[in-house]
Amino acid sequence: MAQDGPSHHPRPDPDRPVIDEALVRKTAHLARLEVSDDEIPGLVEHLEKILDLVDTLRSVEIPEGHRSDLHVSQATVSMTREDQSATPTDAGGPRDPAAFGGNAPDWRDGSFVTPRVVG
Amino acid sequence: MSNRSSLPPMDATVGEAQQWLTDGHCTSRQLIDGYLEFLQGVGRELNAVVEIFIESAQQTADQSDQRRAQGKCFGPLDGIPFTAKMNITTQLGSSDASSPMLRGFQAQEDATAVRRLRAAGAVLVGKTSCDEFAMGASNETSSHGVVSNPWDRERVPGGSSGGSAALAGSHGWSFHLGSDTGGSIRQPAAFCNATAIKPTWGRVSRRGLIAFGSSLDQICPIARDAVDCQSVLQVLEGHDPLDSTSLRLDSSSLPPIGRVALISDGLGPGIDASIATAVRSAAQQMASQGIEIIERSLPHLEAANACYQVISTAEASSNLARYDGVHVGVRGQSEDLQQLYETSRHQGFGSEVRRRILLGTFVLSAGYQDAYYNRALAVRELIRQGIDQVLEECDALLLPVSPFAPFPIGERIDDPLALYACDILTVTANLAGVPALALPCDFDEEKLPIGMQLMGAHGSDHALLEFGQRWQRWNDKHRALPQGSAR
Repeated sequence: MAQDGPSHHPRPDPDRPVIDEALVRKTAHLARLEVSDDEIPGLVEHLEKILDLVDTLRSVEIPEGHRSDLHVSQATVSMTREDQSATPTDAGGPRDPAAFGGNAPDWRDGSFVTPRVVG
Repeated sequence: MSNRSSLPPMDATVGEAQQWLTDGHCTSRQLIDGYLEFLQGVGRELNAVVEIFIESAQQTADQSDQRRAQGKCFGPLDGIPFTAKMNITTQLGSSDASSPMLRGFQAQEDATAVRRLRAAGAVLVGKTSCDEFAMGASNETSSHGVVSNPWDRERVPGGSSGGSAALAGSHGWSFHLGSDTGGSIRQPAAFCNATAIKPTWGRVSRRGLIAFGSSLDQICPIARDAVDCQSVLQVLEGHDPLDSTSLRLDSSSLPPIGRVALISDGLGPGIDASIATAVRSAAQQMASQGIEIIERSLPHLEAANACYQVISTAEASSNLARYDGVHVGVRGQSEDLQQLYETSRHQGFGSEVRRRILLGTFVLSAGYQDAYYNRALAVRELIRQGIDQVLEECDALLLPVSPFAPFPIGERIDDPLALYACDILTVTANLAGVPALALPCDFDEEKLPIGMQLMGAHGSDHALLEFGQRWQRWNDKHRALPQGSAR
């Protein structure tokens, strides 16, 4: 397993993680993405390159006491609303569950079907 | 068959087509039939349109004509054709976000934007192609195939709202709903000589927009001119109980724009000389009309693209987690649930979408979140403050939309970073949540369109659109149509 990234990407930053097959496989597993063996080199190279780009973030000086938890929306809005019942003819109102089943790849007796997960 | 001599000129705006209807030169049914003919001809040739709703459009147009005959016309969009991008849900047809994952997906209801437009009498005529889950800048990642730029069919129309822009750039009478997460309405508008606005984040309900990066996404109008974009935005905007992040913004305009800052970083290295020259000339033209032009630098413009890559992919990895092979879409074969998820997602997502999910998962994963995601959030706030700082001295920022001209199909698709470079001048507005208006500016030596954008303060959408209308009275490049777009 290669511990070094492609040679044309020098890695000046010691904090920069090593992008290798193990990291790609671990991340793909977290993302619930299957990756085939022949995709690995391309994904390693892509992540190397994109992290080169992303590393420009490190050159930005973050002032002391800077807040990063502010939301892009600057208006003060109430995120709550009256709890009102809706009818099926209302936008956002209740829908016939069977209608959701119409978009499911496997829908039987009013349920989504999955492989058996217990016993 | 409609009597063609009674139809408006092909470059007529929505406003002009509405006047044509009001004056009784043609009916909405004739207008819609004429537009459907264009969609079936040029729209199909460009591969811009995925689905066309002939019968429903004709019926809706007939209803509009009946209202008009009774003096009950609903207003400026009544009887006017429009399309919606494939990532915006409609009860008619499918809403697959141009992804194999959602092939044939039937939405239960119209997006709020679509519902409001239909209630205003606008006629939904079709669905347009886009990059898969709106991730792309060339419309080449669409499951419906490559879309052509109407100005040069060997070139891309831009993306991700490439289908919408190809139609808006080819024919009048109509408007189109697209979306913008990092430039997805403005860059295609610039590539196809159309006008489009990315509204203030929250101005338009995102209910029914298939999510990519929720803190960046907005549904946007794209049309022939700024008047049309404003007419559409006035119908779309306003709080929606079905999207608790939609804002209650005052739709009345701020004071007119009198002072504009030309952003020097948007005209330097890495930007095509013809584009920098065109935007400088536009600033001079504004100055000759009495607009005060100052030149400023925009802090952190370079870091903005990096910031965008981190935040947009992080949000995408979370939003797209819902596609699991169980509830909707493609399902792989496996007796193991974990494997079923993985194989379904492998089959359903294209390579660009998978790359972005992977990066987004990485920047959020334990051990890396502080270094990447949290740092990007901090830089995002600095970017927002940087815009505010420039806006203390002016009413709007002027810069190009794209650093380069529409490029040949296939030229960048194998190099993701070359495609991400398309976004460097547009992502800032999304990160800051501020509105940005893309306007046709000029043409280069190859007769390819050049676009510019005006970025304004939070909530200044209508001031930008009114400035856009003034600009389009001084400069009529937006009226130009490509050769060969005739029906």
